[in-house]
Amino acid sequence: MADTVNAVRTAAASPAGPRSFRWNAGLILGLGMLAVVALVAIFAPIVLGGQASGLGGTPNLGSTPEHPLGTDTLGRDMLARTLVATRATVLMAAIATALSSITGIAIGIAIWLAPRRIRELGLRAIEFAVSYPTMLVAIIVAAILGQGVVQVVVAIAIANVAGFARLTANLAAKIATSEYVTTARLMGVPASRVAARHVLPNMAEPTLILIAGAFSGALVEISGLSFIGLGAQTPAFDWGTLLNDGLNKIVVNPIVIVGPAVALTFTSLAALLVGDGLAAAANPRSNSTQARLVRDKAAPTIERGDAVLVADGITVAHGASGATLVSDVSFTIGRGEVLGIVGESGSGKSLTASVVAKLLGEGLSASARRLELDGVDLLGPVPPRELASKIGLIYQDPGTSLNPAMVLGRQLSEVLTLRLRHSRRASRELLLSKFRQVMLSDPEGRLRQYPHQLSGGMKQRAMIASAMSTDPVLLIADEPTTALDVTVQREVLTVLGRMNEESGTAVLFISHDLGVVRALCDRVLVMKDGKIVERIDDMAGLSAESVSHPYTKQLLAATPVVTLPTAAPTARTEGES
Amino acid sequence: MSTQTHESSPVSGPGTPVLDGPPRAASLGGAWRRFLLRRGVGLVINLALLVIVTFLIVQLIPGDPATAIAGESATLAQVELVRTQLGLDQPFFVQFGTYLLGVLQLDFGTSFRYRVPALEVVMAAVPFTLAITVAAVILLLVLGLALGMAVGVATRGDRRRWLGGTFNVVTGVISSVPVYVQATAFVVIFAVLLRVLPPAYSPAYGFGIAAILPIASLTVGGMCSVARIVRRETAVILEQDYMRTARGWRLPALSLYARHMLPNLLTTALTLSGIILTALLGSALITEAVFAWPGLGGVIVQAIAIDKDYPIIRAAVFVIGLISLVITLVIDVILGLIDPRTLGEKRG
Amino acid sequence: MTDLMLDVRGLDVTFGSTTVLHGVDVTLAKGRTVGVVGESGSGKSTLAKVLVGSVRPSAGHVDVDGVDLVNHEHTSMRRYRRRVQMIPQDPYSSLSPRRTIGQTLAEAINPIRSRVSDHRDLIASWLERVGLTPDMMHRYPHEFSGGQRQRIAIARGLIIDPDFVIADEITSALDVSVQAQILELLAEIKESLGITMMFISHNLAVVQRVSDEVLVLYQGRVVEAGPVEEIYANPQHWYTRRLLDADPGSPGFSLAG
Repeated sequence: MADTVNAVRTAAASPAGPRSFRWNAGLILGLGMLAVVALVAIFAPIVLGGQASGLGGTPNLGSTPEHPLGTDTLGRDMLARTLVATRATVLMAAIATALSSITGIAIGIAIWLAPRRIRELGLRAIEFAVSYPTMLVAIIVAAILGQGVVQVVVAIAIANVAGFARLTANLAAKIATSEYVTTARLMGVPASRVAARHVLPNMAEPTLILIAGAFSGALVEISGLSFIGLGAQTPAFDWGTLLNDGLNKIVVNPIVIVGPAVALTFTSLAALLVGDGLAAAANPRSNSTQARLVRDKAAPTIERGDAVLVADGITVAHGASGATLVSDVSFTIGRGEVLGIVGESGSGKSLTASVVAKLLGEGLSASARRLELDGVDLLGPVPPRELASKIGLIYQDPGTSLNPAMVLGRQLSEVLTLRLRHSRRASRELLLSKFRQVMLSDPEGRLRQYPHQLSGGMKQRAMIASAMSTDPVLLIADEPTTALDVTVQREVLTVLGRMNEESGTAVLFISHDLGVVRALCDRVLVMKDGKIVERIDDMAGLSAESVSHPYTKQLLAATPVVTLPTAAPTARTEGES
Repeated sequence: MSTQTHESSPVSGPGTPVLDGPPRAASLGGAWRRFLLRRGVGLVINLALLVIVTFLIVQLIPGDPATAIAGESATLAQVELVRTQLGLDQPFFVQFGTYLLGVLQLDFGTSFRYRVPALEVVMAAVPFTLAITVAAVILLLVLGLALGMAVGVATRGDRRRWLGGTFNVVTGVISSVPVYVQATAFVVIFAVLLRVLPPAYSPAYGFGIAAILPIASLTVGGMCSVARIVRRETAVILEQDYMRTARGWRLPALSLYARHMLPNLLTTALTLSGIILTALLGSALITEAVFAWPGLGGVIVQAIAIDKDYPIIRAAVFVIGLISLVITLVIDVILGLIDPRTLGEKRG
Repeated sequence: MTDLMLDVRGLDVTFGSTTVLHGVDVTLAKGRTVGVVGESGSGKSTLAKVLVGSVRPSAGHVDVDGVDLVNHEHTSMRRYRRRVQMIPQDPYSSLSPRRTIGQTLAEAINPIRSRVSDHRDLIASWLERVGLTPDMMHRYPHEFSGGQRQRIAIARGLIIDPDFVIADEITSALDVSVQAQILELLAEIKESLGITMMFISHNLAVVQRVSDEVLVLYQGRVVEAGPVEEIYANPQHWYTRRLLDADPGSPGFSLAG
């Protein structure tokens, strides 16, 4: 069950959609196995019914050609009995699953549609019910209703209702906060129709996965109850009772447990495969291989000179498809220089930075004719300590790039203690001084805080402090202000600019916003579709006339810029568009 | 320096309200206090519900509970005896009051069969069940985490496909074998065929020796489930931005996985282990039957199926429910220690 | 009174013990567009929610096109909601992944019956108007880019001919060149239909492109309001100046701390 819960969570976390439903081997195999079980359930009682309950055979036989799985204490063939019991067992599990899923989904939706007070009370009640073992609920029901097939089905159905209700209520609550539901509500779509049109269809995948898991669970639990004597009563029999009968004879005739044990495992495995297969189909993971960075055989076209970074002919391709994502990108960064790369999403700017940082993503392969940082050849093996001290990194989303489970002090100073071999105390002091330098308030207190206790701007400053704590020769900042408000953006840019000035660290600054790049950078490369389309050396004189490539012109025109009328109220100034 | 928001700002403006001193970093004390208060109230409510549920076990029996409990062949006198013993001749609320008063004094009534307080019978079985369950949970969590993490790291980014595939198939098959089938198979292999371990509990064997098979059968399947979850979660965590940040610091592999990945993994693993543990408690009740283990399972099945011994049923259900509640609480406290973000979640 | 679309005076909104909006005043004439500028936490989204009727004001007077939102009847709200439309921020989560574009638009036209066949022509004409093609009504959202989805969201907001439209950060998730196209589309529609609009953004430059008036929100208070050209040329409040100076393209921008 727990396995299912996780699969359901993963499926629920992925944006739902009919995208391309990918069939996979596990799903097909699982469905095939279930089909076999269904066929046996339908035909075995018709064909083998007599043989399974007919008395008069030799009792307690081991494996013989006529009775491959032996006979029971009354001389009945165990193979026939196992196959015939399929119908009862599978039917009980299926009915219990159907009952619990329908009731649970209805309750979940009802709770979600209910007024707030009732909803919260309902959710609490479900949490209460879910925290009890299924088996305990089943035992309570059995204690009230007595033993028997119907009672067991009802017991397991009731026991599983809470799980479905919780999943439905949680998914509904999550889907309800999505903008398409709020928009529909605002348009006046009644709640019941929102549930039918938007909520239910979008929870199909996780619900199916849970149903597969619940079926497997019901099968095991019902058989388990029969096994301990609370389920099917003689003369009715299912796999659980057969297993129990076998257990009594286990020392003298162990073959008799094989039938029910294999049947239970087979069916339960089939349900598991279907559940896993559905989860995989809902949430396909791309195949990828280890990232590679190799030296291009061609002779370098750029001489080293006194540049901090020399990148000559960086090319990145997708490993599997071979598609070129970045082609022949070359540039240098001088000591203390700030180089910007501008482009839209998919232009290859971040990939270029990841090659320079030697942090290329899985499934990609890159090559370059020359890639040297401060005299170190990055195309060969580089000691991690060298990389850690020479390159500082800042990422786009400060919310996700810090480890949520570690306090700042520990995670930000680890590179100092582990890679640069500073003492714990010295690392702490160094980090504190950097915290002060980026104007983070209450620096000592921040060391003890978790990332979620800081605002976005503070997190980004802490990241900058950490990146600068190794005194790197190159700072790579990948869209460091995109997730921030404009005034916070300005503060972060100010901090970056000051760091560059004070320590002379060269900066590679990636952004989609020409306005931001213009404010900070000495030179700018414009990238489109993996290629550099324009190099802008004179940032001060940047204008539509000073650039040549049409894409740069377009980008320049699209960049929103406040136009300030110099005099008091003049004619209306509405941008060019 | 002017500070209006949490942000300390280098840009100052006229009319800026100036606070006294820099803003202090907030502490976690309040979160813990609120968490413990909420969970304390929740525990009391859950206990109350448990009392009501166990009380209703008898009341909800269809038809006349006394007749049903005494059995079809019982004489009128026997039925009336049961009726007075369970207080069923009293008005409903008087019955509940009496029951509640009894529970508060830890008195669930006298067992019909054993003629001793029902709770005594149940408490005698509790250590047996807890011994195998707790041992199994610790084993399956530790082994499952280690196995899942190792395979998850080894197969990251779809490396070593053969390992991933083999792992999937093997753990899939093992985890889909019902625990009691596994237990039966273990008996056949280790007790019947190899004759190295006892097939069932008996005071004649040492407790430790007799407990090996029950613990093993409870551990193996759960360990495979946990390993599968952990492996999947490992793959997810390895793709998180903060792992990329950690790789950007070029941290050694040990620190990367043990310090940056494990705490995040534990949050998931422990959340799920609560579910696994309560499910395991259920499996234990059945598995005990395979080994004639003198735990709660045997007590409760005997009480329901054979004796219709309702004082024992009530006491047993209450105790199992209480164990589940305590387990959930303990796990949430551990989660809070590892990852304080979970303190704010409204659970239980 | 009749030429005023918005008449908000002394609006307070409190959630529990925190006050999100303090004494907000807004007036907007019909046919005009007001830009609302503020950073995260300024209360600009709450203001939008009050105006569409999903958040109840704690105090003050809120009048949208003659409908009193403070003391309204529940029944009149349904009709009101058809007259005021909100275009949401995120083009990826604002369209139901399991419904075709046609179904989504049909639901906007008729929330109860929601049949594409009843409104085929209207849907087709609006898809063309926002720069898409009519055959796209049979496709699902995942087949579209972010910019195209935002066009669809705009069509959904405008297809029922609302009196008042609120656009909440509709370009903040888009690349700059796509943003420019969407702003252009919005300006064009505004011109041809003469709609009244509230345009919410954290970006002053974007607001300037589409708005006639601007309202600067800071920590739940209106710190400055008036015609765009006046405010931008001569900001009175320090926070407005700070926002203007934080725009990397503005003359006041510098990285000197």
